[in-house]
Amino acid sequence: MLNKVLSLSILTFLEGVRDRAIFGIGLFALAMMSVTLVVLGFFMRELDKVAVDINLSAISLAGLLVTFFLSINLMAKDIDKRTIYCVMSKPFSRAQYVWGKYIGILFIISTAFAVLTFCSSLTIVIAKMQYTNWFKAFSWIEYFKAVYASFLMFVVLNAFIIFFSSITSSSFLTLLFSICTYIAGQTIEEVVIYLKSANGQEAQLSEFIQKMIDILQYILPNLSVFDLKVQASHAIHLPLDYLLAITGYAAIYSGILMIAASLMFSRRELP
Amino acid sequence: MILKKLIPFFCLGLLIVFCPIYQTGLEEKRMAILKDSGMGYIIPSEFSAPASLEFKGIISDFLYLKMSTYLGGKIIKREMMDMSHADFFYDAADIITTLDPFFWDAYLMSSMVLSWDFQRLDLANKLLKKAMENRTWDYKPPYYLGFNYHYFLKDNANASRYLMEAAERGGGPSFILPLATRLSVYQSQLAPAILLLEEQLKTTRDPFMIKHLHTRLKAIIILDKLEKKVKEYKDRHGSLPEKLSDLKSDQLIEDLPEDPYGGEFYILPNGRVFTTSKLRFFNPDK
Repeated sequence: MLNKVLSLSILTFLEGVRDRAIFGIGLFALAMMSVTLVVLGFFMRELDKVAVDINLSAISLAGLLVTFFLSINLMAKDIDKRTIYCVMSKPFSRAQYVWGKYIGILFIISTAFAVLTFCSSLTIVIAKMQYTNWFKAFSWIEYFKAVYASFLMFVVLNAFIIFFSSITSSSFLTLLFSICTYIAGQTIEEVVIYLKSANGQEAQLSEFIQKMIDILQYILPNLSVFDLKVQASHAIHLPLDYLLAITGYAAIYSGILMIAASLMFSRRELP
Repeated sequence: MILKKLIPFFCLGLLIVFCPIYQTGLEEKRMAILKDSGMGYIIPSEFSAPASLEFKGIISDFLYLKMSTYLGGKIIKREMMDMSHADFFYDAADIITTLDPFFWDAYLMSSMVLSWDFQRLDLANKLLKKAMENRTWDYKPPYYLGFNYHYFLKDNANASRYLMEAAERGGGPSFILPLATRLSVYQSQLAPAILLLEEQLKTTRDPFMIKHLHTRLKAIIILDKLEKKVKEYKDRHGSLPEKLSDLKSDQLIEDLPEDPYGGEFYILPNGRVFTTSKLRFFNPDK
């Protein structure tokens, strides 16, 4: 069974890597990273912060583009364009297909992250050599922690894409739901914090909306927990147990979504 | 036939020549619009923070760059700024530091402009207190707060309290602790200003800011020197000089120094020296 999932994931990976969009996304991210060296000259003191901000943002942005333009194509378009029947005619169960697609997508994201992290590290090394005195506070450990946390965010987000692909027949709907989940996941924490603050209390929201937000904060993924860019840019030490906690959160959340996706996809009538 | 084939090339050439000329005209129009529109608008942090998603750091960098370029432009052109600009700097810095609460450059630049150029110590200190809450490991926010209380607000009790806090946090220059302890009996108010500006110059890269700080340091060193000479005159004659030219006639100074801000130095009734430029190119009283 594992062999089948693995072979399907390798097929998905090869299919994704062959897509020309990935080169465009890679080039865009590399251009953004190289901009770091030019932009740093405009800042006063915290050049290490700016360099980390730009590079981590470039990695995240490239990850988002890969997720929204590539991952969605790999499963949702399979169903949309009926190419899924070619795969289904082979001895694969539907659950194996879903898991194979997900692991394949994770391979693509991991490869993209490895390449981008290497390139961004190179950019930072060059910037560090250029402005040695302004990189004294910089910490590689905190930088890699932020990259790892960002990767975990994509593990969850791609599980959502598989989940939405397994319940809808349209790749556009999958894209729309995924973007909405990403935006809601990134903002829910701040909305809750704001409502609990003094200013938020003054806003006097209706009880219904308050309850809705209370429920939504447990249903929607809190993707802000994976955002450690600001901490990395100021080399603020993050304890290991925090990293373990978010790893567990990502594993549980994507586990739930993937099991639900397998169950729904197995029972679903394909168009 | 050949002429027909050449027409597209002729049109292309014509447009290539015409485009830069047209663009120059357009740029002039654009600059006029930008000048009229003033500082632009500020999006409240309640909206801009969630809207920045996971890109708060890079957006705070961009907003900071926009703010410093705006200030740099004003310094280079020596353009007047009024009190509405003080509110703009405060609001912009507040949003930047809500997006990235540890961003020291944003705290420092805006609090310096607010205190030195606009005399808005309430806003400057509010930002520095925010920095102090967020950068709990850093000596700089309480150090600058202490300076503001001492130099601008003449409140040595609070100044000493913040400088003590800065000394406790550690990592700062060695003079902070003795300065904090001696503050209540500190005679010269200019010595800490010189120390602070020298410290800032050591850690600043921005050419506009370096120029700005150099001018200020130069003016304060002149004020410090003149105040010492006034004191020397008083010791010699038992009374204060009526005007600064008395120092020259008493051969205490060779020439009356020029104010780098374009004003004129004068003696206050308490023996302190100040200048008509109020140490700024801008006009916050407008």
